[in-house]
Order: sequence, then C-alpha cells, then structure tokens
Amino acid sequence: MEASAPLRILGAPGVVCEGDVCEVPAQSEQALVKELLDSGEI
Amino acid sequence: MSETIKVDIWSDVQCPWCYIGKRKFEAGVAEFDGDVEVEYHSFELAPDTPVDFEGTPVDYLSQRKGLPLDQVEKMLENVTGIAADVGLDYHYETVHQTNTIKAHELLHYAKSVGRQIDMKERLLKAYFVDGKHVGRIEDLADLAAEIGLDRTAVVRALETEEFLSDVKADVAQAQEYGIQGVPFFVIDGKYGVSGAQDPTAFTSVLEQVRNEKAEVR
Repeated sequence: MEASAPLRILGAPGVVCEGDVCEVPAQSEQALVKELLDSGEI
Repeated sequence: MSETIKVDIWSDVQCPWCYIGKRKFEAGVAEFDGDVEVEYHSFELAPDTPVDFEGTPVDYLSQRKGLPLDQVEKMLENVTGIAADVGLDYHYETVHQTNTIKAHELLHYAKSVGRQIDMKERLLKAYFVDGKHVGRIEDLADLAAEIGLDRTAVVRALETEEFLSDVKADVAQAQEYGIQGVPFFVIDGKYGVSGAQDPTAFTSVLEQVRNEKAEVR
C-alpha cells in the first residue's frame, strides 16, 4: 500500500506500546478493592 | 453488498497490547456485518535489543527504564490480568526478550505464501504464552513449520534477508503516517485508529467507514 494524504484519526486513542514503554492503565478502584480483599489487607 | 474494507495493522511481536488489541479487533470484526481484509505490517519497538538478551522482561524493563523490579513486576501483572480478560494466558516468567527483526521478515515471507495471519497468531502466542524464542532463525523456522510452511524455504529466506526490505518499507511507511505506538490500525488507507480499543469501538469504526464509502459512491 502507498501512503497518501494524512490519516483521519477516528475515536479516542487506546493503549499502545511506544519504544520500550507499554502504557499500563491504572487499576480501577473496583479491581484495587478486590485485590485488597483477596490479599486480606482489608 | 458492501465493498471489502481493508485494514492494515502495524504491530510488533513483543508488544503486549498488539496481541490484546488483535483479540479485541477480531471480536469487533465478528460483530461487523461486512467483509474485512487484514494485512499486518512491521513495527520494531526496540530494534537495538540483542537477539539473546540475558534476563527476563522484568530485568529488561528495569535496566532500560531504571524502574525498580517490583514496579515492573506490578506493571506486567496488570497487563497479564488484562490479557486474561480477552482469553490470553500471558506467561512473562518464560518470555524470551529478543530482537524481532527476523520475526518480521518471517511475517513477510508468510504473506508471500498467503499465510500471514496464521503466522502472526503463532508468533504472538509463541512469545507471550508458550515461552518460545522468536528471534533466532532456527526457532522461527520451527514455528513456521508448525503452521505448515516450508521450513527449508523459511530458513533460506531469513538467512538471505529476502524480506528485509519489506520490513524496512513498513517501518518507513509507519513514519510517514506518523505512527509512534502500536498497535495502529489504518482503515481503507484513510482512517487511523490507535491502540487496543474495545471491540465495540472497532465495530463502530468499521460501520462508519462503510457508511462513508457508501455515501461517496
């Protein structure tokens, strides 16, 4: 395929890896609470 | 009958979001009532990585980024959990961090014989799930043979760098598009979608593109 005009970006960006770094979304509060419950911390 | 929509995907074999994004994209396509043609393109996240890096991905990221080991472990645990949500069983403890240039050459070889999609899936699973080495020619040839490709032809293609120029062309095209992170999806050669989106986002984008194509006809 040949690149032509600039791309029209659709939607909000999702998580990507860039160089050595891969974005890691922060844990949701729900997941954090579950983890604390599972570990017995709360 | 609507036209087939072409989706070009830039991705790297050692990119966790690329495998997760692949699953989410496939789920989005499954919900789309139209035809989609997929082609994978090469993107090297860390081209200076040695083929035989001594250590785990935790060691690698910790060394390269100067992050504490426990922080990196926590990050990878988080990614592993997200992978599990889409049915992928990542095993970072067995991953061989490596250089992926030969894996990309293999993907172009596979494309030349009409098996790129199968090869892509095998390479991602080999890296993240099976703990296989995806940087060495002999290991790559074994993986290619597993999906029925001609092992001898694969070794010859990789040793002679027959497809290296195709890999470089993909990388150059990514730069031309301004792609800085992967996965990155180019739809119909005009629209860009960045990252591992939810399946519904992919379905919506495909529907939007199909509708816009219909309007201009």
